[in-house]
Order: sequence, then C-alpha cells, then structure tokens
Amino acid sequence: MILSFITKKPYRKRLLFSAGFSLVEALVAMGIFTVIGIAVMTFFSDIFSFSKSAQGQLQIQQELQVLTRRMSAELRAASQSSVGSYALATTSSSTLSFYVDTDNDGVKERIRYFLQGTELKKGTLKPTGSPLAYTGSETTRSMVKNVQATTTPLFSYYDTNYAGTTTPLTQPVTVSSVRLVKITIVVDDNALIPPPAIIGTTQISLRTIKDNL
Amino acid sequence: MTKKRLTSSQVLHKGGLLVTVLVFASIGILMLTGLVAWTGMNARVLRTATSRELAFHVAEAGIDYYRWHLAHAPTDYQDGTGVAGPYVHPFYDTAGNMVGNFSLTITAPVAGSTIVRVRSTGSTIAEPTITRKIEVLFAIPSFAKYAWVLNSFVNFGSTAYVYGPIHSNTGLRFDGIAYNLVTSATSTFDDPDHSGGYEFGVHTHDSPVDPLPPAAVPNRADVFVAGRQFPVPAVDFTGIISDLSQIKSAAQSEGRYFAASGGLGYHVVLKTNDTFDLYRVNTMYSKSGCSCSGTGCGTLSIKSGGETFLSNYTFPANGLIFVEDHMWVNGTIDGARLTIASAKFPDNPSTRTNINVTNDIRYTNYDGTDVIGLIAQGNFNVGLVSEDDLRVDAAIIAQNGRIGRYSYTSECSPNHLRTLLTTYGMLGTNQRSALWYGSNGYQTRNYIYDANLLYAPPPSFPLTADQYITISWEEVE
Repeated sequence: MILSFITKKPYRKRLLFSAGFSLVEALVAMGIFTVIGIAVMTFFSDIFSFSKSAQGQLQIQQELQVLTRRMSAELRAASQSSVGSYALATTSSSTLSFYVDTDNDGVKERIRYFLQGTELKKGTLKPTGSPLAYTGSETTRSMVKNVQATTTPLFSYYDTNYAGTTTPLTQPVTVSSVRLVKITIVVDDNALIPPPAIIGTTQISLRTIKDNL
Repeated sequence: MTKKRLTSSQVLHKGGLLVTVLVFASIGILMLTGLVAWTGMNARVLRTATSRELAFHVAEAGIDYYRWHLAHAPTDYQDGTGVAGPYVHPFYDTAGNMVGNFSLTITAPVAGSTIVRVRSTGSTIAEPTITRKIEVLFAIPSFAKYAWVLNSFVNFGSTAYVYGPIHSNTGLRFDGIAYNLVTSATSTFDDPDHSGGYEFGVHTHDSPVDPLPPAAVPNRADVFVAGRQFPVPAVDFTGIISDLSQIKSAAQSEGRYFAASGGLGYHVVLKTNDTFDLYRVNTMYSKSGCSCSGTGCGTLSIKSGGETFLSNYTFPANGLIFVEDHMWVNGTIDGARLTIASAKFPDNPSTRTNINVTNDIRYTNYDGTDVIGLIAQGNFNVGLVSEDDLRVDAAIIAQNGRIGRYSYTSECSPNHLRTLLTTYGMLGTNQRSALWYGSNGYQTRNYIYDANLLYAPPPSFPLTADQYITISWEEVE
C-alpha cells in the first residue's frame, strides 16, 4: 500500500528532487562539523594540556613541600660535626652545607644542598675511618628540577640581629655569624608559557647556635 | 467530568521520567557525597597540620622554658617540684586562652658531668592525640669543648688542620685551616714571632697577609672556615686550681687519692680490666752527658727497675684519681671514664707537680665510651726516653705550665730526635706548647680532636662558663 502511494506520479517527482543534499548543504554541514570538530579537539587538547600543567604544578608544589620540610628538620638540628668542625660548613648563595645526624646512628653526616644547572641537589657524606674523617665521595640525589635564577638568592643568611625585616648578610658570609637561613626557590618548568613560576620559601633558625632567645 | 484517555504511546512511557530522575539523582548524590567527603578530609588534614605545627611550637616553648629555669636554678632537675617528673605545664596564646600543654622529662647529669637531657612533648587542646617531641642536651661548657685552649700566644703553621674550636687568651696566629671558630681574648697584640706593629687578636700570615689594625678584618674563609672572633671573654686558667681542689676532695671521699709518695712520684699503669697498677718512682734515667734547657729539665723517664710496685686498684665509680705528687701515666682503658689529676696543695709555684708521659696512653673505643682527662698543676711533659711513635689519647691540661718536651742536645741521641707524636683528645696549656725545636723533639705531631668530648667530657673536668648552652637539639618521633 505504501509502495503504491509513492509510485504515484506527483510524489515521485518530488522525491527525485529531494533525493540528496545540495553542494551548498554539504559544504555548510561540513563547515559546521569542522567548526564543531575543531572546538572539540581544542577542548580535548586543552583538557590534556591543563591536566598536564596542573599535574606539573602539583608536582612542583609537592617537591617544594618535601624539600622545605626536610631542610627545616635537618637545619634545625645542625650541630658540630663528628670531627669537631663548626655546624655550618658552606654558606654561599647557591650552596649550603652543614652537619646533622639524619639517620640517628650517632654519627653526623655532612649534608650539602647545591644548585647544579637548574637542578637543586642534595649530597650526603658519611664520615668513615678511625679517627672519623669526611673523605670519599658523597651520594647525591635530585630534590627540585627547573629552578629559575632570580635576583633573590637561593639561600640568604641572617645574623643575631635579625628582627623580621632586616636585610640579609652580604656575601661572602662569615659562617659563624649566621643564625637564620632563608630559602627561596623559584620553580618553573617552562618560563615562556603560563602558568607563572611557583615560589617556595621558608626560614629556619639554627637551634644549637641560637643565642638571641 | 470526562476522563482523558491516554494514548498507547503515553501508556508505554508511563513512569519513564522516574528512572531518569533516579539515575541522575543517584549520580548527583554520589558526586555530592564525594565532594563533601573530600572537603571534610581536606578540612581534617588542615586541622591536623595546624595542630601538628602548634604542638611543635608548644614543645619548643617547653625547651625554652627549661633553659630559662636552668639559668636561674642550675642544679634543679626537678622543675622546682622536688618530685620525679614528667612535669606538665599549660601553654596560653596571646589572648590568654589555654591552647596546649607541654610535658617535660628531665634526665639529670651523672656525677661529674653537667649534661642535662630535656625531652619536651607538646600537644594541643584541640587535638590532644597529636604530639611533637623535642629532645635537647644542655651542658655548661668545659675546657673539653676546645681542640686547643691556651693562656699564651700560639702560632699554628701552614700544615695545621684543626677541627675543633681554638682559643687563646693572648694572641693567635694561624696559617693552616681551622674548621671551627678561632677566638682570642685580645683584640690586638704584638706577635712575638716577628717584628712590626700590633696585629689582630687572631691573624694569619697565609697570603694575602692580614692588614694591621685598625683596618677592617678580612673574611678569610680559606683559613678560618667558620670565622674568627676577638675579643671574646678569657678562659680562666687560674680558676682550675679550685677545680683541682674539688677533684682532690672528691677523690679522697669516693675516688682514689694518694698523698706524697716519698719518692720522685707515682707511676700509674692503666689496664683494660678497669684497674690500674700503682708504682712509686725511685730513680729516673740520668742525663749522662747530654743536656737540656729550661726550669725542671731532666730525662723525666723512669729508669728500668727504678720503681716499686705498690698495689693494684680498681677504677673508682666517680672516675677520679688524684695524686699529690709528680706522676707518670701510660696504659690502655676499655670502657672507662677517668680524670687523673696531679697537684700539690697549697698551690705554690715552687712545688707544682707535673704529669710525665713516655709510653702510650690508649683508648679501646673511639666512640666516646672511653675518655681520660689529665690535669697537671705544672707541666705535661713528654720525657726523653719516650716511644718513637707515641700516642696519647686524653684531654690534657697543663694548668700553670705547658704541654711540651724539653729541648735536648744531640748528646742525648738517639732519644732527642723522635718521629711521631699523636694526640687524640684536646690540649689546654697555660704556657706556649713546645714539642719540636727544629733539630730535636717530635718531627711530626698530629693532634686529633675528639669531638665526643663536647657531649661527654671527662668526669669533673674544669668548666669554662656558668651558663648552660644547647649542645644538641633534635626532634624525635
């Protein structure tokens, strides 16, 4: 019955005219699809890039948190070495080394935080021999990558007169005058594109040297 | 009223919306629950972090409190209560609200020591289960904290590598490398080793030579790694005589005390079984043709068979051995902590006694378990007939004299020229130390600083201050 209906002449003619899309229609449709496609692809690519960037940022934040927490714990407890050297060994703007017993074995390790290229590394040297001596090579591990150079030094040092707003000691710093160490780390995995750099900072007072109680 | 009849399609989809609503509502509830849980967890984490931080500060307040307490009551290790601890104190914020507590556990120093162990446990009122613990060692510094402490001028050459702190009550010249503080009680002085004007209390001739005062003091991190300070308060050598007097009375009551020997002095031979043999010295080697210069010069070496065995004694519990005569010491200890002193009272320059060494004094353990303090009222001498490779493990003080060896002429050959002297401990000398004279004495001298002395000095070792300092600080789990 339906077939007989469409085989009727006037309807057949109309169907013939409507049998496909015109070129214009196809082009418009393709255009719309392209626009939607591009939008969707951009959306997805943005999602991935945002996710990557957010993950990167989170990782940087985590690295900085771990670093500042660990450095605070170590520096607070820094004391005279197992051979009798002063608690702090090096106090330059990009290297800080000191003595602390990090593994609770009664022997102080020499801990050295230093910048190698754009990477902040930590070196650990255990004294050996009898009498003990800090010889041999230290074991190093990477702490934070992509550290950016800024006008604020990585490590700045303050003496006993530090009252909160005092300017840091000028380099070269006399090791024995240091009472407080300020760490400022600026990290950015790509300085050319957003998001901006993350700045991690903390101030640590050396408890065994503290004299301005 | 006519009832509207539903179409067949409407009949089929009746309740269809309910499923959708249920599905979406469940998803919504799930997401909302997750969000609430996440927010709650974050808040809890934040609260815990805040409490942990506050607990740390409360614990540290406990440490600061007890340091203050010790400054006012240096021998009260019971927080003024007279009963055993722990001692709990409330902690208030600036508005007067009690925000936490610190609990102090105090370990009093053992006899002859000043090291107080204070453990402070901090907690907050908000989260009492979160605690932070800090353990600190307070001690009144003793002479043993120095690698070298001198009442006179001293000149360290370019080959000197000194790890512990160095102090001189007069001036100090240092051309090697010092890894700890170098201090002097004078701001300027005239270096007797060369002509020219007054120099800094602590100065170096390592190139570039220090300028003369009143120029600014250069930072010489290559020589003074930890820096130099002058003037600082002088270390009291004269005061050691009262320490010696206390050691004498403590040795008389609970230690080992020996009055004048009737001979030339006593010879103490230390043993690893916590005993010592005591001899009376009758004869020393004669100089027989060779000579030496200086007051009291002699071979200071016991002649073979020139002594009489008196007895074997166990080491006293308080670790104090005191003889009121000259003394020779050698031997090895294992697990002992001793202070061996020689002095004659009343103190008189003509009767001051010396400690002489010709053979090794050794520790078995180099981790701070073994320690010997040798305090001589006069000189600490290395005798003529001494070991070619002499080792002295001890913290040595020559209260009025010097740590040294007389200058022997070549007629004393072969004993006048010795190869190696190694000390492990610290050296405190009133007069300028002398162990090498260019052609006689010990050719090589290695002075190793025993860093354990800071944490565990010999019993009743003379103190250099009256206030406690923090020698160790650590956060414990």
